[in-house]
Amino acid sequence: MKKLAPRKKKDMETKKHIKKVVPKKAEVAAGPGGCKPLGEV
Amino acid sequence: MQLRRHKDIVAFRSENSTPIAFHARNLEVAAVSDELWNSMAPTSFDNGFVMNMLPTEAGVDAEAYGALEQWHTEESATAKVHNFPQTIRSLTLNITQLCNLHCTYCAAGGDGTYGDPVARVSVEKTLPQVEFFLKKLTPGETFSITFLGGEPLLYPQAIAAIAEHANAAASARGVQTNYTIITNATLIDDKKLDLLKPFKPNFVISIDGPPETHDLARPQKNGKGSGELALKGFSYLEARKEEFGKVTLHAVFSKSNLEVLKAYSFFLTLKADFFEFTFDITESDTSVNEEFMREMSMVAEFAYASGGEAALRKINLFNGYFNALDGQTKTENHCGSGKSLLSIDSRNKIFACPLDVSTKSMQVGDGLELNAQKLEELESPFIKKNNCDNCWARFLCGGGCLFAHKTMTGNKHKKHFSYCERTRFLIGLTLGFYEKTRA
Repeated sequence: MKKLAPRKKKDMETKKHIKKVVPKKAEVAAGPGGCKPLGEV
Repeated sequence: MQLRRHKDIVAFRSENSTPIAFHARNLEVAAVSDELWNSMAPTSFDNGFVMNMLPTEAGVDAEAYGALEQWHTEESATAKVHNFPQTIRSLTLNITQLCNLHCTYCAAGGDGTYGDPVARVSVEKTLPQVEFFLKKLTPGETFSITFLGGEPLLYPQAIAAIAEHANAAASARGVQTNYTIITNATLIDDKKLDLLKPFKPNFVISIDGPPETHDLARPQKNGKGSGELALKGFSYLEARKEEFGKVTLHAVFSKSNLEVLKAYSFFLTLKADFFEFTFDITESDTSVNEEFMREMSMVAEFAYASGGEAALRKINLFNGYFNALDGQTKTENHCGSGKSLLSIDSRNKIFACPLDVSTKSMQVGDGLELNAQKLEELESPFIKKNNCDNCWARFLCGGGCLFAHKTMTGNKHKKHFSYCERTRFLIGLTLGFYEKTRA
């Protein structure tokens, strides 16, 4: 347990400064598009 | 928008707002503290170099700096490199190398001919080529054909014949097909739509905005504007939209027309599924580049304010980055040119990129013969070949468009700073909206 303590403190510090967002599944389908999507298949 | 960087982490800050950071390797987006922002090195969108503050520098917060360092060294378990399959599953076909318009920014030799005018592709020679590539796919896969020109609707019979043949060959192998026609819309009428309807093609319509701005860069060969003709043609498609696939409106902006927001507002009055706004790749004037970026910001703000994420994602550029972030897919290639995509010109010669059709040195095949050595050269990732290792945008940009680089610098692997600046800015813009929608 003693070994885990510094890591926990570090994680709390990180969360205080960095609030990551959570990706989610796409709700809107990609369009057929022009140049770039031609090669995206 | 201000920009700061700490190694592989970049952060953006608009006036009076929370800084948003992006981890380049992990494709992670986060809101970050003021202390963390102050512990990062100021940079700019035209700067792709790695930068960082030192922990002993004035203004650096030790705790925030530690958090930055920890995040920088983390390796994501979810972000994966998306490799294009080394199987051709997408072809572009030049149905003609002639065009009825003469657009100022035309990348096809300036007049749709690529320097080699051809009125009609040989359907007889094209069918075996389509079958050649289609046969390499396995059941369940999808084969895509995009019909280009010149103006492909100068010869719609060829589109119908090729699609009919491809459908038969695909069906026999259990392969799906989809078709896209890239057109200036001036020649669309009910007769052509009747001919094309069985294949339910997607349409990409080249239109730069309402006629008064469209006409600035898209004249007919007689010098008159093509806007009214394009809208008339498009009205036939609008009336029968449910009979066809997705419709994308594609505008190109250049020195003569930078009114992206005006185009977007106009597009909203038309029946379309997606919008695409691109920049004239021959334009090197930095003030034009800056104006385009400003206009794109206004479009994004307007779209988000009026329809949230769904409206924003009707614009292909933003949708693509959202997909990459949500899917945690890192791209090492701007496109699948030479990997999953090949282009066939109106003389049945094969090229890696549809824009390189006129360049003999870029030819990778002819008829049913492919140059294996040339294709092998195209296998390595663009971001390596283009020296993008230090750029924070590399895994969303994929090294950029090689044709655009070549046009601007004379070397397809040498990037022009304004291309990179524009790309980084648009990615930064997207990341801000992504954080808003996912927080």
